[in-house]
Amino acid sequence: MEYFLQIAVDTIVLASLYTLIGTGFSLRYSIVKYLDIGFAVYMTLGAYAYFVFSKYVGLYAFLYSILFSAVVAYICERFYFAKLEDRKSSSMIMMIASLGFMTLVQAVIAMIFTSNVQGLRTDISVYNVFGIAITDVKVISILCAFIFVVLLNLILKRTKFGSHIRAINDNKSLAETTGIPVKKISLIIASISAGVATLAGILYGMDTSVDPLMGMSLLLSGVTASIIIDIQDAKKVYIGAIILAIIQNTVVWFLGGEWKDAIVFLLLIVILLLRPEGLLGKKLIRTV
Amino acid sequence: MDYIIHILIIISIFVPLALSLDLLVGRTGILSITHAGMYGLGAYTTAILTKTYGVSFLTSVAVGILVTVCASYMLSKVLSRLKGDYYTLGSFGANIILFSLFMNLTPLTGGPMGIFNIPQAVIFGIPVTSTLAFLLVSLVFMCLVIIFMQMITTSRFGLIIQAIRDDTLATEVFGYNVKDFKTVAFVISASIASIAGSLYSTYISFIDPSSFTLNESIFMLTMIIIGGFASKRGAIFGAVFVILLPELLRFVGLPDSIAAQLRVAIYGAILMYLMYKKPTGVFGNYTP
Repeated sequence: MEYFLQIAVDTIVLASLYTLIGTGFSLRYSIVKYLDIGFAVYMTLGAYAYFVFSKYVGLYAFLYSILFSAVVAYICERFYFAKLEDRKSSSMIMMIASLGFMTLVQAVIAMIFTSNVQGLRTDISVYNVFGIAITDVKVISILCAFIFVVLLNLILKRTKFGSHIRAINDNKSLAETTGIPVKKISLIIASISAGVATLAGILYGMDTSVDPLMGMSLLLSGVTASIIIDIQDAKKVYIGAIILAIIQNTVVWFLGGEWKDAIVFLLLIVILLLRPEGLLGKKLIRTV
Repeated sequence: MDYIIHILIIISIFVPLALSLDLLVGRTGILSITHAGMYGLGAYTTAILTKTYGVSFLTSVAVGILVTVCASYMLSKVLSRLKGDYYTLGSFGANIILFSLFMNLTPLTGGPMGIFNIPQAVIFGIPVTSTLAFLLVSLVFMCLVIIFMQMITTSRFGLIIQAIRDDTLATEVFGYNVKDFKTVAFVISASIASIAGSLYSTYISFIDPSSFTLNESIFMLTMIIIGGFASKRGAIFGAVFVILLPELLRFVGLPDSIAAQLRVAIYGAILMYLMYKKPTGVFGNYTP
């Protein structure tokens, strides 16, 4: 029973991480409309930024590294990706460019910090609740994901900014003609989603460890979480994250941890075949 | 001298890989990132058959092709139902699943330790013992692939797949079964990669899963993007350039770990630059 509870808690923590990543990704997708692989960079970048900042500024390192990632994302979007998009580049070009961006940043990080696995912290406090070991990082992960989802829901539904995002998601060129500042919003979203990715990267790094390639496997799980539900709707991604975390931990339980990544993709491919629009997505109509 | 022969052998293995990937990405217009997996299927089949079962080299190549044809046929049947970006994501997944298989089917593949002491090739009763003899074999293979590509791109089949790339819907209206053509292109491309894998495993005489990762697929993609899509000259140039660059960096005298990352960083930067300035690549005939 205690074993089962422990796995249940770990599943919720995993789901929280996937929620943060998947929601950030889906928010970005709803504006740019291509699968931005370069998004993986911000988890790695953020975690390593924390690694550096935590030596100097202590707890504020959280804020500094999120800010750092957001600024990097803003600069890259403003001076590179937005310019590519202005030329009506195909999504293949955008994907290759973001692939290049990802390999570049990962390699630079590996050059500076070596490609070894490193721990982000040593002073982990473990609480014992009814025989279940819970670390403070796990509690923070769950809280962050919960607050973020609630906040996002409020923003998307209640504010003008939120309705602008939804308008761009539905029809970008129409939104542009009605005077919505599409470029400004896409820059803001690039920064926000990079910030969220950073948060997830730091939390993951604190819970386990960091290495320059960590972003990729985290991103792939996050993307899967958003696609199996409905990539167009950032509000619902947490459902996908929970489903994915449950399936992943069940597989690890029965088959062992080495099949973790393979199972994510098997699930993704099966869902894409059966319901390309996601489990809760609107049925796609074929257009010419 | 041995060093130059080694470089030439590696080039003559990677030029066919680049050419076959270009058949898929440049000619058919589907961005697939699973080529290293197909290459790995050939390499592992040859390694296992020649070492454990003492099968002759040519038979193992034939079995490798058979295995790859079956695997790529099934994979393509699944993937060709996905559209655009999702195809790429699905192929990402396929590579990760194949990598997991190489990594975790330990009794068959040796797991993370890989397979040692793969026997040298014996072709028509003549053992290929010196590296010079092996170079001859791999050069013959490379020339055959170049001739084959020349034939296939000017054939009716070649014209139809390029029509699919330029306008899928129109080609469908003319009554061609687009999915079948995509599948055939995928299977041909995978089979050539499989032969290259067989050659690689007997030449190096040691393989482990790290040669068949997602990054290795991206590395092959980099070759044809730098050289240019839908161009034989481009694929050859790209492969030669991407293989020679790290060798040049070696002469600069950087420590190995930095040099390895620096080359990846340079590839990333080149991809970003090319997508911005010249998306066709150096010799390309097609803008993605």
